Amino acid sequence: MAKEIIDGQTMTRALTRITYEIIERNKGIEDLVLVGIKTRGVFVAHRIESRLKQLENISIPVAELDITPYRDDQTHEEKDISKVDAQPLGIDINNKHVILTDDVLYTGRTIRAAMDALMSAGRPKKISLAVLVDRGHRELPIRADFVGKNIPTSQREKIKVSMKEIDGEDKIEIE
Amino acid sequence: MKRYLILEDGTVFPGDGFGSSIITTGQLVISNNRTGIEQSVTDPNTEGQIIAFTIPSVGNSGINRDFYESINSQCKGVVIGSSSASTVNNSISFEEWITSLKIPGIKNVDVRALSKHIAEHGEMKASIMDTHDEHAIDQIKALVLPPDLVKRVSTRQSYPNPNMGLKIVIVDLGLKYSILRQLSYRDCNSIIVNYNATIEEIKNLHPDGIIFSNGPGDPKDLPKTIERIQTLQKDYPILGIGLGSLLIALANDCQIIPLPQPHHESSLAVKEVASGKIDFVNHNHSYTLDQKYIGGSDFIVTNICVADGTIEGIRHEYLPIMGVLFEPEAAPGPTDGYYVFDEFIDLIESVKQQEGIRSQWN
Amino acid sequence: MELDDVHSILIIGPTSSDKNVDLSTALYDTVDILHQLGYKLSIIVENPTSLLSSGTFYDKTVVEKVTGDNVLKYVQKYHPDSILPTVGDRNALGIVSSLNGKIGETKILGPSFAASLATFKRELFIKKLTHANLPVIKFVSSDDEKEIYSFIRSIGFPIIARRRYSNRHSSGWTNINNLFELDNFMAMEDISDTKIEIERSIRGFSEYSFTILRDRYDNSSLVGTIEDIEPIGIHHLDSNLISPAVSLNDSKLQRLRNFSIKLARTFNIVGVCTVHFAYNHATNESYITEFIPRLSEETKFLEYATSYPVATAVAQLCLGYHLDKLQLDAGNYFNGATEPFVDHITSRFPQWSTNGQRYLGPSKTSNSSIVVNGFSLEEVLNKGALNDKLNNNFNRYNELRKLDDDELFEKIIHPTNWMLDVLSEAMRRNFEKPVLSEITGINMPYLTALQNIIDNSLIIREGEIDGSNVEHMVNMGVKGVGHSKLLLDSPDIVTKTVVKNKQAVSVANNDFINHNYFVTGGISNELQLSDRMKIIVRTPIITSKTDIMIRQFVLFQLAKSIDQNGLEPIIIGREPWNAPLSMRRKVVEIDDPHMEMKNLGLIKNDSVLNIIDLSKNLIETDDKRVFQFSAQELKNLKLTGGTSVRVMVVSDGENFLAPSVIYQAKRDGHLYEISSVNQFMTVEDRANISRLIKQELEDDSKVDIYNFELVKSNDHWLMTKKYRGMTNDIIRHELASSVHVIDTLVKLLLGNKIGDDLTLEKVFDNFDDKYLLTIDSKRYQLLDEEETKIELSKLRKNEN
Repeated sequence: MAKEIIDGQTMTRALTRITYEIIERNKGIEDLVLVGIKTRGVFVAHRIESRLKQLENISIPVAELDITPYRDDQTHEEKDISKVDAQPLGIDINNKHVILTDDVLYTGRTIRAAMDALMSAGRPKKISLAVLVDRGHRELPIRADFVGKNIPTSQREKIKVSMKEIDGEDKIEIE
Repeated sequence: MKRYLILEDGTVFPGDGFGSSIITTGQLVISNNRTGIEQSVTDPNTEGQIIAFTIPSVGNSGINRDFYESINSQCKGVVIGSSSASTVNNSISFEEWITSLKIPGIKNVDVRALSKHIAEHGEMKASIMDTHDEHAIDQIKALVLPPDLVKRVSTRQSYPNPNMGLKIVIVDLGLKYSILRQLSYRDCNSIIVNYNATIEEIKNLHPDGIIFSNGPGDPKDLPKTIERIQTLQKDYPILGIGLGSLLIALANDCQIIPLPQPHHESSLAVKEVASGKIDFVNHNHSYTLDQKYIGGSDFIVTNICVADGTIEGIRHEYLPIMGVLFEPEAAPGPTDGYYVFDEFIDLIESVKQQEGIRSQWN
Repeated sequence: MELDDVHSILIIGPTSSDKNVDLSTALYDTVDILHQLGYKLSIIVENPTSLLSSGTFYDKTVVEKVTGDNVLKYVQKYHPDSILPTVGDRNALGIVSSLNGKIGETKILGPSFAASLATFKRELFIKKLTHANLPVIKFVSSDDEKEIYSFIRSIGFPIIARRRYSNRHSSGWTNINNLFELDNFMAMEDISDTKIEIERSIRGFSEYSFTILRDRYDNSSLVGTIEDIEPIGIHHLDSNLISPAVSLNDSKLQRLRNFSIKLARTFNIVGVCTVHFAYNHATNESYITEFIPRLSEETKFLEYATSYPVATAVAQLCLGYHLDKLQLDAGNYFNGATEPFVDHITSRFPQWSTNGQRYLGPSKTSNSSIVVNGFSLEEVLNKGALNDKLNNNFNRYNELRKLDDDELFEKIIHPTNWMLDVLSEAMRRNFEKPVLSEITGINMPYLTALQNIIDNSLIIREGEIDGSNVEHMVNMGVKGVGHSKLLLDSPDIVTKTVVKNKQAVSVANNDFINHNYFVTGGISNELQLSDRMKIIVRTPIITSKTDIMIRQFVLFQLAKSIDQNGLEPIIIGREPWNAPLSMRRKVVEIDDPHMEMKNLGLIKNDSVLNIIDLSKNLIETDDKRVFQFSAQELKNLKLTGGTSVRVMVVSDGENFLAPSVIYQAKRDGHLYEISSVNQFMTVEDRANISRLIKQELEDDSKVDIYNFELVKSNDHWLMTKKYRGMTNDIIRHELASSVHVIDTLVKLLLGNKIGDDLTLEKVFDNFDDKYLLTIDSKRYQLLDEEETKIELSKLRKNEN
């Protein structure tokens, strides 16, 4: 049975904290862009964007990234990176500080794929990573710069993130 | 016994005396707290104040001795409308309690008229006396309230509030015990020091973070504390609460101004700027930050009061410093503000993590 | 951001059942703000009186039985974007919970489906609350002894238990306080298929209710708290209520506040939610007993107590507005994110239409209530429950004095609506207060307040009133009442008694302008009047729901018309009026249970143009300005005929108008009535009726309203009934007629004249195109001419 481990309020607070940390570690947020990994990473990006706007009165660009073509955890038959066309990001990331956002950080393969996609779209000055949940079990040397919540999990457990925009409510469950 | 509440401007409010029968003088403050008279009366912030409570029928709920915010009572007098002689939980009555604390009180006062008068004319000195004549009013006018309120309420000796978690040093400017309750709940290993503790003394305690507590009086009376903050903030995460937050602001190029309508209310809405979330929290402050100076400082405004738009919370843009003007520990009031302590602990953890990363790379 | 896919709203209106409370003001405020914000509104309602208006706000007004089927029919026909059930009392929640899955894209605003359902289904309620870790009374229903005993071990004593039989009947609840009683209960002979139901006993717990507002973005505020003087077990609305809950200390208050907010979050209720608690002050146990995710008697009471515009706010919250960005009317913003602070006590005392004693229990028996304000418990008790003029407490006292101690004790054990009088008598006989508190579950502060009142009445009876204690007496709400009549002789009463604003004093509360006052003791008088001339409306106590609705309607029309004619309406009454928000800011309401305003002289005599008295019996007749509004029967002939008309006439003393005529006839065994049939009347009828009225009015020279009934017998009209003043027909006249009788009356009171030699057309003039049809006195329908004809022809068809 699914067990709620993070409620809406805690999630809201975690996102606010990530925002503060982004401000703290980037003197000036002018050259920031947020790139959300589809699907829930995009909502994470938008929420951070709206908080930054409220706090600093600056709108920073948000892009969506669909990394399905880049995944290396798909079967070999399906995977042929050279053949896929990258979806255009719609924003210029050259010389920008890109903050990649996602809901859950797990093996790191999604992030690696996202970085591949970013690299093929331009040459960012820097890439940082913000995630709502880090659940461990990394298979690649990747670490998040901004973490909402560290949640120790076994590999058999599943983390389910619900967000208001798509699921009607904010919560994180484990099952 | 007939007694009189006499204001500095000569206005007289008659009532019936209870509690101690001494003549008392202090700064008159109107409190719109719904509950928690126990907390207000023992709150060090009320040092030197005569508090007028505007709630009706005081004392029905009984006196809860777990609600003390300091060991001794702090206020100089209590003004109420109606009161009840018996309680729902058969504790001692409100009047018996005030008597045991040796505080003078006056009841059956038209607190509605009193609070309107203060709203129109501003906070002023007042006295509870047995007579009212010209002489009495002259006495009140002549009396100068002591400027060293913080010195009077701050702990003389350092003392620990031990636990197993983060080490927090609290600079006691008029600390409410509920702040310690919140830290204990979060396993913090706290040490409380005198307001005048030196930088060395604090550093030698090797804190993970420092809290500058709430307290009474005008922040400008504490220039030394402001200087110490300027040094300490380079090395430690800092949380300022109430008076503490004003000092943090003054240490970082901000200016403070008196509130047009002082906030003395146990449940007033505060909005978190980033998320738009509204929390109801306890307020007990007469100053706020001047909006004009925020832009030029390194602070961002994190919370504002919904009712009048004044600043209620700040955070430094790149140093781990945060401050709230309201009272996140509640006591009394809604518990919506507890999260501030979580945020401070997150702030400390995040600094530690960064340092960890840095040391791994260096 | 409001919900951008909602443009049309179907409102589930109130039923006319006497079991439901009157929410007409809340309904009016709801539609007023939604209309101003540009939503397209429809309503299903049983009695259009409760709309307090003739339907200007509505795109469609459906007068039908308010049932799930009728709501469903409407939805299937018109496909509204949303349904709003917050003003339809309990019935609307029942309807909402029956609509799940049947209404396609149509949204339910406010309470969620689960919330509506859980207000009816106890199992769901317990399951949801238990899951959310909220304190709910645990309940077991089982035939397995092991399960039963393990349950009892987990909750401990005291418990209540009953047997539920397979035929779905059950035994009554038995109180079980110890092992011995449990053994007795369990040893009773078992019939097969019997289940035993057990729950924790909360008998004698104190009852509290917390009302919170919540927006779509999870911001919640506590609008107000209420405590019951009587304990759990006596219906909340039969109890004497006090707001704010003065007996909760900080940790108790915050705990219950947090529970309330958490409950609303658990069910995702947007709008308003009132949560009821049982609290045991000895053990600090608390349980949630029920919740009400809609507007209710509680929200109505709190709106009055705090001046917070609850209904207006809830309507907007349901539509997705932010709590801190609400509007009082279009363009007039206010900060709803405030927890109103009051420096006074507001109290609701139930009223019964009969004088006798009544046993009280879990089902409601009271017919109405009065609401009073004061600064101490003693003051509100003196103004309300112990107000001799309202409750005949003096007679109660005399009757109770005759009882011996055992008989009195019996009354203490079995609570009646005389409980406070019984307790007073018991304390006069020196029964011990802690014992009384223990038995009755009434908390000590109330007994102490009663004791103070007894001590005061002793002072009064002994004639020991003087300058040293009169102020104290007045502060405690002692006025010229009952055995305290001596006080009236004291000139001090006038100087020590003032009028205070009901509005709270707080930094956050400057947005709610109202002119709502109460008479109390103190120093500063806060009554603020404009320099306009005034019409004072004096209102009596009302004791039935139908009368409440008529009163709401009439007062609203009167106040509106007084205001529109450039005067200041002042409503003074023992029972305050709950004015709709738009009017609340224009009308001066003074709640005056002792009727002292006249003695206070705070309203300058020469600024009063007229006094309209709504009571059945005028208190004073020597003031020429007093105008009696309620009907006085002047003529009543027992004569019946197939066809009759009822005519409402306004006269300026010389000429008259008859803008509204109700026609009643029988057709094929059905009795039907059509309002405003003026245009259908033949010239001959008009002439005859007008002539008869003229005869009746020959001797009158004052502005007045008359109601006539004429019967057609052998083709001649005969005058059978004549009333001076307003009968209950006013509602039909006002709802149906385009010429507002009340407004016309106010204009005439102002000195306007009708004019001589009016043509018959002018006398009967109105320009209606809608008619109110009633068949067999069942319900109103507002129809145009064509629809009226169709309905009437249907009558005939059904018969064939």
